[in-house]
Amino acid sequence: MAGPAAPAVRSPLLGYALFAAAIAVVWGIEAYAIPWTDPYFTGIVIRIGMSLLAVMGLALVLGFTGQFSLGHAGFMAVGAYGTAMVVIHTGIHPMVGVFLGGLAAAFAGLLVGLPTLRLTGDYLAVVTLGFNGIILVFIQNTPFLGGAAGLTGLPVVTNFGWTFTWVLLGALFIRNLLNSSHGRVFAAVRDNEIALRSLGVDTTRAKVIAFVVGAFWAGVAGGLLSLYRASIFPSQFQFERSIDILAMVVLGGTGSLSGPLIAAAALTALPELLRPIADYRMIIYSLLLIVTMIVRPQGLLGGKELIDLFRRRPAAPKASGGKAA
Amino acid sequence: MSLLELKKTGIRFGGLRAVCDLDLALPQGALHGLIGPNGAGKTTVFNLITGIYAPTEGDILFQGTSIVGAGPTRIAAAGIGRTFQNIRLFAGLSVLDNVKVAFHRHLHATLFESVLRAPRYLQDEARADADARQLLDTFGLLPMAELGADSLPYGLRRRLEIARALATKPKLLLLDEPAAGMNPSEAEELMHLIRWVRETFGVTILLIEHHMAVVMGICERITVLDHGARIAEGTPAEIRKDPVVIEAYLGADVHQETA
Repeated sequence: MAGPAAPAVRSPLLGYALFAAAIAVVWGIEAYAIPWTDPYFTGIVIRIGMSLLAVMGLALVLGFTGQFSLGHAGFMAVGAYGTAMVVIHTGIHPMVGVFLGGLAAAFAGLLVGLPTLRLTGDYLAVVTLGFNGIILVFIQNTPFLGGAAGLTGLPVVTNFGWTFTWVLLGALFIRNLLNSSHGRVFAAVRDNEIALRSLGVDTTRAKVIAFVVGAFWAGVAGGLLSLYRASIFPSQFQFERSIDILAMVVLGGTGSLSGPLIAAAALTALPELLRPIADYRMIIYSLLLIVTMIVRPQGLLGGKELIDLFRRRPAAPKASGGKAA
Repeated sequence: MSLLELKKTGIRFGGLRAVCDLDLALPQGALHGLIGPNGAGKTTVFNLITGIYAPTEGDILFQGTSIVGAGPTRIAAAGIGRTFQNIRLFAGLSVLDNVKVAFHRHLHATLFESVLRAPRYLQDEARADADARQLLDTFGLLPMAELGADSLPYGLRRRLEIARALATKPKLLLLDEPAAGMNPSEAEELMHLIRWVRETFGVTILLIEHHMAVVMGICERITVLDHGARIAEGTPAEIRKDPVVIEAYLGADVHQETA
């Protein structure tokens, strides 16, 4: 995070303009390129988008704030089923349903986070692992939610345009949050909680904020998933999915946002690209994980962003005999 | 009225009385030393004052109000800043951001204002940045503002930690062995820094230190702890001559210190 000098405060107007342009490009692609694209390929890209949303939330919680959460797929499940319920039982626009699904996941994050994040250590990992299991058992045993057979007959709304509109919103949200005073506090929580408390900062509150925001974007990812193939099943949100997301964050690098996003794109696309040699797919996938952990244990971009690689290193410190007075 | 007052304060960890029956009163503007052999309970006293531990006996008053049970965050917000024996900087943040974090409590922008880069967020950031740079400048750290805090040499880390604690605008500053690991000339410079901090920022200072030249040189009064109890209090001249203190430090006592 100790990046090169940047102006402390920049006008947000350029950022907003770029963001609007990016949204326009996404919908331009949706209108003019997607109809000519192989649906199989489009499907991979959409699933990459959903991975990006899930991963950016965990990058915030684990990578920047240092809180080890093992139940991210549980929040996706809450978002997916929340969205499905809203879409089935009300007439509002499905994308409003996705937003409400995200809010439901954020609320679940608050319920899980409030009692747990007051503690330091591995409690959160255990509790979130349990939460992931509980939410699936709950869904499997609730006929209203379709039980183990899942929910079917949902509208198919998730397309390239909507998915990447959400991805851009999420990336902007989390990037801006990280570059604010809140972001500094998250990194300080990760580095030294006791010192942060000695500065009068409520560390529990900071951790809950990061956790709830992370859960929201996982919920949005789930919501989009529920409107993608007209059906959802509890088995889509098992513990293994949480581990997948965790692997993307760790491989991409903790303390980085772009690193985990690159890892998410790669690890979502890789199984598909390796399909022609499907028999060896899992071997290659595993080797990639192992080699990365040996060669770059800090992950692809640990503590850095992609853009930092194109910037020059900051000037070496000047020796200063600066007296205090 | 005393700014800080410990009344018969004590804490037990199981059967161990780490601190017992400690009375201590710091008037506004004092520069008070807390000394004692290793394991005497000095840092434990700091942890009691800052709320990391809650005392099992006695009371702690800050500005006349009891702060027992308030917890580290609220006690810090009430105006007690501290540094740590083993320096606790935010290693992943720049020098500048280490100080900016300390302003977090005074910023007004909500989460959504921050995310949307609303005017109030921009004002907050501009002010935090200017204040942090000014503070770094007075500490001679401005040239290193953009460097990672973990890349600073040892002496400057100490200095940054003091600057960061002052960013919260404390009324009372607790310094835990600021001269640890410093050579005599660095310790000398630190003495000037501490005096200067007291005058410039108008803070009351309580100082733990093993470096006797520093303690005797700058403190107006000194409290000596041994085995968690106060064995002496007085001016540096009185403490230097006190036979009880001399025995605690040099005497061939049967008690073995466990740090």
